[in-house]
Amino acid sequence: MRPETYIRGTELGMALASTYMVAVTLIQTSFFEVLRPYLAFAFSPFLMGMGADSTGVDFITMGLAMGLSFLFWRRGDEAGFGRLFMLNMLMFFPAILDFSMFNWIRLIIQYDLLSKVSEIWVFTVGLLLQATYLTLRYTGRFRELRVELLERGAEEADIDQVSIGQVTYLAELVIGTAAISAVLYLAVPYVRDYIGEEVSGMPYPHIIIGFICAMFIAAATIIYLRGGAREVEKLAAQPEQPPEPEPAKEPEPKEEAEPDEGTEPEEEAEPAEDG
Amino acid sequence: MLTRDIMELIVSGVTFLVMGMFLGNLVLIVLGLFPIIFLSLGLLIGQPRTVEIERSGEDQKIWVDSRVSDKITATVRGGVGLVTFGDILPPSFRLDEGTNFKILWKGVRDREATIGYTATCAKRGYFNLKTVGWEAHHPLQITQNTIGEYSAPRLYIVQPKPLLVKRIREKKAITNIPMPMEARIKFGFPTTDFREVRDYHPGDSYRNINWKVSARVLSSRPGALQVNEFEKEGKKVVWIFMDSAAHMALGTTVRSTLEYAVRAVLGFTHFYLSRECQVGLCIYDYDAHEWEGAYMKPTMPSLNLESALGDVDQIEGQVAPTEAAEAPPARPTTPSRVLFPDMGKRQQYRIWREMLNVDIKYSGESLREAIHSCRRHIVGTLPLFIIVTMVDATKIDGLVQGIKELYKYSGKLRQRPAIIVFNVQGYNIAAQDTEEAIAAELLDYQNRPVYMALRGLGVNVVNWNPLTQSFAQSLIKQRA
Repeated sequence: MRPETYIRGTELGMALASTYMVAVTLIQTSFFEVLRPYLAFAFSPFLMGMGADSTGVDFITMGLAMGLSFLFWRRGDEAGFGRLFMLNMLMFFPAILDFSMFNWIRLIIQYDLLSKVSEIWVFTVGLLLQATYLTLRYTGRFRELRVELLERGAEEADIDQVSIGQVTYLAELVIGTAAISAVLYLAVPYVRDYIGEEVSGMPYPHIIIGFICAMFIAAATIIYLRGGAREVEKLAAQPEQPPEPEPAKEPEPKEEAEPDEGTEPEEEAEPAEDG
Repeated sequence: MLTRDIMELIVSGVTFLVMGMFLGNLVLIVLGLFPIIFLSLGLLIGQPRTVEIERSGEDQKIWVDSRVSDKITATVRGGVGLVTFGDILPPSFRLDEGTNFKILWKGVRDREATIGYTATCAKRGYFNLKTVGWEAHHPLQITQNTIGEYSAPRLYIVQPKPLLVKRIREKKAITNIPMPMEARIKFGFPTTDFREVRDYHPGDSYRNINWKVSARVLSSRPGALQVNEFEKEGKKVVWIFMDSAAHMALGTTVRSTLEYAVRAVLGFTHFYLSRECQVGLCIYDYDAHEWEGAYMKPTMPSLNLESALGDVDQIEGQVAPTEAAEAPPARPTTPSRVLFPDMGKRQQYRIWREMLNVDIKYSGESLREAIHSCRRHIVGTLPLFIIVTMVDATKIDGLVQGIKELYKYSGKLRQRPAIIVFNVQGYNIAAQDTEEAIAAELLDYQNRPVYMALRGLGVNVVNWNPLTQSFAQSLIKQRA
């Protein structure tokens, strides 16, 4: 299989898998339960035509989501993948609300929390969404890079090798990040118990502390990334090559044989020495 | 330097974090950390840091249209990512086999890659490939690419092929391209070739006194003793003047009018040097005729700063006139490109070396100025002058003035030097299709009155269309 086909196949798999998972999560949320009667009314002609009951709404919703996901994948550009991420996050949001301390939608519409999925399920789906977003974002660029390298005259075998390396690297990085995030998520209850008392003693609401922490994390990340980038630049600027050898006074290049007059067929006239 | 793309990911992560804080949702907070961890890991691993290049093979001296081969090995260390490296060939080199550019993926382990290529050198000159360029990319483009060069020198000396003229047996093909009629040099050993009888000058050897002639002359009128003058051991002299003006660039980079002119000059050089002549070379720029004299010492009125700045003087210290105000604009000085007549292999080597460097605007002197520069070597002599140029009906003044200058310094009573204008027909060289070839013919037709005028001056005009004629054919065509 050609690497380009492999990359597109991976993109399709990730896009459909994430949309499927998030759609499955959506139809099990409390908010969807509120919406279900309205959707059933809206889709009633189709449902009656198919002879299906209200569960058909779930299939129609999932089918629509998967169809849109396929269309966004088919576009294959960064804008399409951005829209796919937005669609997924939109469907993911009701699940988030079910596990939020502050559910502001319930302030507008009163409904009971009847979520059929667990928090760990929601977190896993969230990880899948983030992984899909980052994967699609970079695989799109890998394909662009392939075109650029081809235009620069690189050999296709080398480009294939590079693409395979890039996709492997991306997969390893995404899996590693997901693992670290999962460890963090699972470690939170223990950490919470440990520092909970300290934080609760602070005279500020948790939102202010959280906001400051978020800004601090962002600033630290930027500083870290910039610092790392400078280090790379410094390394690149270091004289990593041996000093240039002294140029020879008289270069003595290897000489080819002189053109043989006997084999020079071009000219054959002899000017007369007649002045 | 971080790329803009990174900021998007950081903003996205922070948005998740803030949303998580706002909603009091741990899932969103951890998901917000996801892109930040991702970027941090990416930067921690980093892109390849060290690229070492090794070039095998050796420097070469080759002929135009010959092939050269080279092999380059790159070793990449540190980081993970994409590395490209390539040997930048001169524009006149054509890649025939292999590749001079390579892209490779550097994984966790050190990586080594080799490229090899064969290229054809289509143009003469010195080509010094000093470095091999490389570029390291981060796999995710988190940081900007690192661009570097590694010293890997390689010298190619590409020599132009001379157009050799050989003897043929067909008598009908004798041309009237002359040999130099006569030559005189001031120094050198006298030969046994009698030249003339002249008045005795202090320093002349007594053995050269022609007693018979002296007696005859002194018996008729009082005067000096007469001595026999013999030809010095000098050879017949050929002066080649080569045009390097902008119009000589007509044609493609590797097949320009100048390239054919160079080959013709080398052909003439080889021909005359192999016939024991002394050959001199002078390179000029026809276009310099346009501004000839315009850079004479300018008569700018000197600024009277004392009166102009009189009032300023009262409030400020004396203003010293700057150097720029005093210095008149001077004509850019370009070195004279003259090789004085000499003979043998050494002179041939000198001319070849000069031909390697010749390019458009190589000289800054007009034809008249160039002749003026070497006038001391041609005054009173009768060498053969060959002017290799591209005759253009719209630009003929400089050529005519140059020819007149040659007549001014050279020649004797009732004897004029032989002058050949070797016209490389550049429009024909530049023609790419039939229509352009017809246009070139028309332009050549337009030049015919100019050829007539030049012939009227006693000049032998030789036209050469390198695409349809060989060098020898162009000379044969001029048969008497």
